[in-house]
Amino acid sequence: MSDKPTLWQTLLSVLSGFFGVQSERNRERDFRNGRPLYYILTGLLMAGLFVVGVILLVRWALSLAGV
Amino acid sequence: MGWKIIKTIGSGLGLTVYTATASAAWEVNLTPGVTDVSRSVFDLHMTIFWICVAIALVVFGVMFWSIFHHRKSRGAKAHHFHENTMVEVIWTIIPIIILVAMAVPATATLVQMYDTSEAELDVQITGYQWKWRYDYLDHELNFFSNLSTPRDQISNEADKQEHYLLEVDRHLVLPVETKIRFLLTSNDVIHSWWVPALAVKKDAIPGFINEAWTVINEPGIYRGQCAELCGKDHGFMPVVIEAVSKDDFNQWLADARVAEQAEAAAAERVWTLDELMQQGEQVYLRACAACHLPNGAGVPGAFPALKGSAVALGDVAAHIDIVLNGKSGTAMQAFRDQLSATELAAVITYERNAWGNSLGEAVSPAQIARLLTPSTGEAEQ
Amino acid sequence: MSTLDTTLHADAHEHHGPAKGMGRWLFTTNHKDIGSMYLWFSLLMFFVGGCMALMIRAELFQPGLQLIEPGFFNQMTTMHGLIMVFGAVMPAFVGLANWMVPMMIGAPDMALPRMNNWSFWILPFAFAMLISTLFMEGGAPNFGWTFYAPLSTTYAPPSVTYFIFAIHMMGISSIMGAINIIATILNMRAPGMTMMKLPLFCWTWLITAFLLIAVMPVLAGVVTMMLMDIHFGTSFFDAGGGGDPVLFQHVFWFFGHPEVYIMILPAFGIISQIIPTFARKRLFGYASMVYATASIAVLSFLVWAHHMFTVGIPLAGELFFMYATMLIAVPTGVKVFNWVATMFRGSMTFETPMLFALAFVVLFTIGGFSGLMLAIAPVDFQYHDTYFVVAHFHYVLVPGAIFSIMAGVYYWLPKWTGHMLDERMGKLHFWLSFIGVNITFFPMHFIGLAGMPRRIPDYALQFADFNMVASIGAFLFGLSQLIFLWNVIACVRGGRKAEARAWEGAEGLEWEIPSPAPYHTFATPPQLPESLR
Repeated sequence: MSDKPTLWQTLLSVLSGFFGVQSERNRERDFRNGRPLYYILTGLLMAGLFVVGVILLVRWALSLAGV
Repeated sequence: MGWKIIKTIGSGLGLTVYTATASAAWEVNLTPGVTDVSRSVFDLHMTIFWICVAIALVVFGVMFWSIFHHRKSRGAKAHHFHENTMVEVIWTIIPIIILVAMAVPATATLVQMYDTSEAELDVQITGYQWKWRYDYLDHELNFFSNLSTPRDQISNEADKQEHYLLEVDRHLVLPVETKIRFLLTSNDVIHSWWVPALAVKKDAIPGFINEAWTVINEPGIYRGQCAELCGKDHGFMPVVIEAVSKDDFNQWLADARVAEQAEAAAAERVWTLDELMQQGEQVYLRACAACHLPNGAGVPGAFPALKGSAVALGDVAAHIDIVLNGKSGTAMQAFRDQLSATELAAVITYERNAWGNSLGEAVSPAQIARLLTPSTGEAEQ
Repeated sequence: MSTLDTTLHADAHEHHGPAKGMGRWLFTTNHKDIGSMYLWFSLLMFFVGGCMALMIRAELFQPGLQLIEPGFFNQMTTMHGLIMVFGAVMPAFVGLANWMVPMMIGAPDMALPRMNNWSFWILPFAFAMLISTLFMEGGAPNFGWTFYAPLSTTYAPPSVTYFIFAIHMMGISSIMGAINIIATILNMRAPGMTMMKLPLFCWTWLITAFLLIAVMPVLAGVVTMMLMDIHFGTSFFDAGGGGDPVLFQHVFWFFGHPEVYIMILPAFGIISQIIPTFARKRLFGYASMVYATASIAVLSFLVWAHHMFTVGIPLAGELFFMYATMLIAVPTGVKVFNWVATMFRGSMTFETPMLFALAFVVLFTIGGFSGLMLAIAPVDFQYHDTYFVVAHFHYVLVPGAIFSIMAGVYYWLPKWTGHMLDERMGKLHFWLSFIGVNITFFPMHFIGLAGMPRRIPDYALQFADFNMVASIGAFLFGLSQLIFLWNVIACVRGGRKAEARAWEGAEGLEWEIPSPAPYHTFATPPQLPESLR
């Protein structure tokens, strides 16, 4: 039970946070073995990526619209 | 019906009952408007509305079903499930897909609304506390558009007419089937120019110029209002558009120019004190009374009194200067562009001779006209 | 001063009871006393702001100007908004947190009790200063609770300076309250009360507290910039001096949008405590609720300009904020599904707190739907600054935030007072409020769509009938709040004795201690009950 969440699992947890759905099992793993700092840093990083993603989406939409 | 009872109660209490527009009074939805853009906005509005209704039916349906069937008084025993990630993922993804589907037509409409290119007519709209100024940039014509609802209707001393608070002294006349570009700015605080039938709402911001456009399909009169809180009389600065055929529009332009010349000629004749006082009162009530009040008493701490004031009883040149050029850092506007020479002379004369101010001297329209002509040094400041 | 402090301190510890007289309330460091003061203060502000709302609705009962002047009308709309947001809703949530957080996590008190006292006692002074502006020459602030420059700077009444300092003081109070809640939740949990066992009310408040710390300085910054513009010759927001009036709106809404979540996340927490209790079933998807709340908090910083679609931001900006808003609206909205799934196959009863919680779920969702409609930028051009927006945010704030507060008060009153509520009076209050709130705010959707701008003291005739209906509803809603006051006072004075677990299905540490809760609880860390282990 003492296995730390991997980077991939941390990413997935943060992603599911953004999505708004997480399973009880993963949450228990996160809170039992994870370090909050990693989740917060990943979260901020993902928020940055979210911004970049939406900007790219806007540019793509604008190029489709021919503006 | 319920509202009839309410009205009966209302009239029973001695309140004014207005029946002129009772049929229109229960309007519950957005107007589809009279432009292609306003129609697509209306369609988007109805689509998203029905999507919301559908989601509501499902969610509240399940909820009320549970409330009815899973109640303790009917002997319901609590089950013990408390998570199902798959279900949660599904019910999150479905709304996301619906919204992405909504985003596509919304983006298309928005792109269309932002395309102000290839306009055939430019109209600059400037917000003032509390009126609009319209400049036909290609035709050297400009004027102010003030609320024309009489004060006694607002204060309930007269019956309210059909277009109560949505009527102005000069309509913004526009041609139909013409791409018109609006350039919006403001002279003082932020205003917002809104005509629902065109689906145009854009803020008029001091120091900035915003753009919007429209092509009106049908002739008619379209009414709107200032939408951004802009001070005391925010509720009293309507927008009225009169859409006419292209020929009528050209005719109107020509007539407007003739009227302007007649106005300028009038300033050159000699006016008596009585004539000026008479016109001055009208101008005062239209342009000044909102702040300084009809009796000239002002509002302490906000708008100074004119009755017995040092300016209105003092040096006439200083009085003329403050009316023409305003006072920076206060709500006192520069009226040199808002009123004609005759109107300015009349209102200054009125202020110096009304409510117990009695200097007995008249300010002549010709004198003001000289100050307004750009060739004099004073006007260049 | 120090002798006074030490005597009081020693006193409290020797007798383990409250001090006598006014000193108890002035110098108290007890989380229960401070919680009660917050709640009474917010109730007072709720009635003050409510009277202003009724003055607005009375003027709007009919077209024409009957009762108040347009200038005073603007002061009323401004003060109503400021008092309700900063005086009623926020202090009520802080009050609930003060009472409940230590009891829910098994802590003896808040982590920083003296600061707790101070953060409450700033508020009466801040609001005394704000309300005193009504009696000043030139009148109170009249530029709307959003105080857009330059209406609030160059064109403001002289009292704006008092408004600015009042906002500063409220901000200081909120930040200190937030620090206290974070410190308490992170450091003072009883052994075994891990973060993943934290009641959802504590979780949502923890996240709200971080939001408060992040955005209150932004609000303080924007009012300070106003102060500089007004008194020290700067031109942040004055286009004439090279400034930018739109900058004000960006900074304000960078505060303002997270502020919206500050007023609704604790409500989510309260509802998530109440529904499982009365459905006798665990909250569905606790993990999702926690994760979603955290992400809502982060993303709430990325959507502020959806309040500004008409100011003329570039097309790319409009699209960015439209997409971002639509994306985060969904995970926010579907949390409603979790509450419904909690009720599904439960064993429900419908006491007063549950009725308010159910009304919250339905009416808040309606507010969410209109929010979704407002997110569509091209359509927002028609909705923006109309009564449709007024309807939207009142649905989110009145049957949203305020119903959740009332639900919370009714839910925890037995724990605070030791008496059960008179259910008959509670239900009467609920039904009158429920009907009143809908008669007031539902027609506002219609008049907004029909074209009535917000913040106007007089209107065209086609809006007359629905305005009259809304005004009647407002008086019904307003007057029925007197029943709330009656209920609270009656419950404090007497009633059926409440058991430790006042509600059959209630779970959590706060229900393990006797009702009323003793003045000092959990002086030694408690053993977690079986259900929480």
